[in-house]
Amino acid sequence: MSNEDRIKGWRTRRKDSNYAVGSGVAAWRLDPARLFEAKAPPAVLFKPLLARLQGEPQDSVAARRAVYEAVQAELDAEIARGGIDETLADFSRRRLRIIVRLLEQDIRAGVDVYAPDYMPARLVEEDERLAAAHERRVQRRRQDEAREARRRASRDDVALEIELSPDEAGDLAILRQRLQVLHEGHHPHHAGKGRPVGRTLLAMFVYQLRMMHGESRIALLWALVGPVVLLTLISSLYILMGTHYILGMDVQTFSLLGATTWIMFRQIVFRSSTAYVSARGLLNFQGVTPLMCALVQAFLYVSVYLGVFAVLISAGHALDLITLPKSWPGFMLYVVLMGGCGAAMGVLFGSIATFWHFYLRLAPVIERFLQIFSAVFFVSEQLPEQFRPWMLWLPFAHGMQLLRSAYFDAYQSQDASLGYFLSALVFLMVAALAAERLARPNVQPM
Amino acid sequence: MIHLNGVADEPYAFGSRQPLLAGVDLDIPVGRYALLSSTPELHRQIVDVLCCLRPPRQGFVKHDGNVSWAIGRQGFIRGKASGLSIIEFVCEMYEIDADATYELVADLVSDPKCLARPMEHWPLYMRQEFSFALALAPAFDVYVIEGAIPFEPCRFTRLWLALFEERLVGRTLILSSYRQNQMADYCLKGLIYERSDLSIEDDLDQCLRRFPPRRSRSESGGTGDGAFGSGFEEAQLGF
Repeated sequence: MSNEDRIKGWRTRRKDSNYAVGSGVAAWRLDPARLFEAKAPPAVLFKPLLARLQGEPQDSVAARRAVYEAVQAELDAEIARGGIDETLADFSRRRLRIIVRLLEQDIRAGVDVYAPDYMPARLVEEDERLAAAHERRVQRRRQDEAREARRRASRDDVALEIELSPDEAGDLAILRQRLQVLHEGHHPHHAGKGRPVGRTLLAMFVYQLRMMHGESRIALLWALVGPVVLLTLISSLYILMGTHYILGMDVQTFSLLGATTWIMFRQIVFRSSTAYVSARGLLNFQGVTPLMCALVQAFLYVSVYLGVFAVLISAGHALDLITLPKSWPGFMLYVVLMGGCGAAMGVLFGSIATFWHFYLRLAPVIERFLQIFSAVFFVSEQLPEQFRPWMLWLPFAHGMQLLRSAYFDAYQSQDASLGYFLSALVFLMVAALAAERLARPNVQPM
Repeated sequence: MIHLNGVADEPYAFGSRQPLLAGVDLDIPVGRYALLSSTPELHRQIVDVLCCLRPPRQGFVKHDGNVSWAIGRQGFIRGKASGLSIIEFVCEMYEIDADATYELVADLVSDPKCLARPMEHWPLYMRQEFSFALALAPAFDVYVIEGAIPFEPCRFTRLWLALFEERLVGRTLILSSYRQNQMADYCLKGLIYERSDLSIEDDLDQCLRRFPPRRSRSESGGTGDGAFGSGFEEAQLGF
């Protein structure tokens, strides 16, 4: 720009009568404070550019380019002076280029660009596009930085500090204290020796009780109904045939003992075998094994049916239908031993079912067959001599007859052998545990 | 620390026996590991063995310090039991204070009202949050995470991550996930499962290139074995 040009420009501006020197500066000076604001409109750059263009010779492309380059240089100087970061600087430069392109197009098309409210038609739209791209770049850079910080924290094995809002920071402080309290007294060297089995069993038992409680309280009432129906069925059969006493035992009590004990037995077999194969959610906790799941079920049902016995015997005695046992502890011991048989059978069935899923469908059939010959409906002494040995193969028949011997004064079983029953029980348990050992690696947590 | 001594295993999965591990001897010292392989479907079974949730067919796994359960797995968050009963169960097992644990979990999760309701009615996000929140309560020395570490931008994620990262300092992490970014973020070494063997490799980036994590294809199909013998319970009356 020559000196003459400058004078010419000054004269043009002076045509306004009230012109004071320096008064137009604000119109064409780049305002660094607003230039690099995040949400500044394109006008912050466009207006000064236009003002300058107006003040300078602008009739040739070369002259206009000189103005554009001057603005560009000034923008670069501002960027350098303000230490603006690269993304934002890049954004401003791109913005200037767009403005120049659109403005130049309009000038060449003969649009009156110096009209007071002139704005290139597509400027706002293009600028928005540019701003969105800029926003994306900023986001990406922030993510990259966060990731880099994250990885650095992992490498240095320190906790990454993240920015939290004040109330979240408050919550975090409270939670930190809670964790500190919870983790007190933990020594890594003492841990890892395995959890005490008793503690886990107790926890599981309490959990199962809660499950039952949550499931339905009517289920416990239901436990009473089953034995009552079966004992009614058995006693009515005998009474219809005119029998009121079997070998000195009254029919109702005889049926009650058979029905309730056997229902307990079958419940334990089914529940514990199912628990063995399919209660696999809890196996996700260390220390919980399928065997424990099965045993907890067995224990639960023994306790439930001891309660059922107590209710039925006392209610029946009050109604004068049931006689009281000769020895409560002896009778209860046999009930528990039968429960033990059920648990062993359940674990055995469960172990088999891990290899052969269909097996549990067969279990009720097997149980039904055992029920007939296990002194539920009759004792071996009622059978003709030649059939007795067959029935006495079954240890459960021995158990049931011993139970009745312990209950009634008048009846002392001639056939049942305590030795046979106990050794069969031990054998069954050993077999169950051996099968369990084989099956255990096949039971996967769910 | 986890020691594997001559571990051989072939669990039943996807309808057939899978030769999972064969004579693996490995010490996993303190560190941060990404479990990587070309068969993420079998990671679950490997995690079971590592966490001692299932004994292997041969050999044994020994833990030094408290090893967590497979955090992120939601196997126990089901059924009629409420969140409170699981909290009590865990507290009883790990000998920690149940009330403090309950308060910790209730303060962390987004919807503490759910805790008293049966878990089968919980929405999915609640299950996830619960399983991660509960895992902070016992003082574990080895954290085994199966699945994605919480990442949605919400209060739970921020608080949980802050607590977890503080806890993880100087401890061990084994992460099995399909999210490559998380593995690169949290892990430093690769725990490589290849040809029925486990090994530790130091260059995680190279491991990630060799075994790009992908989603296990078994997840939609379940583990392939449904409910066992559900047909006999109708016979409760016993006649």
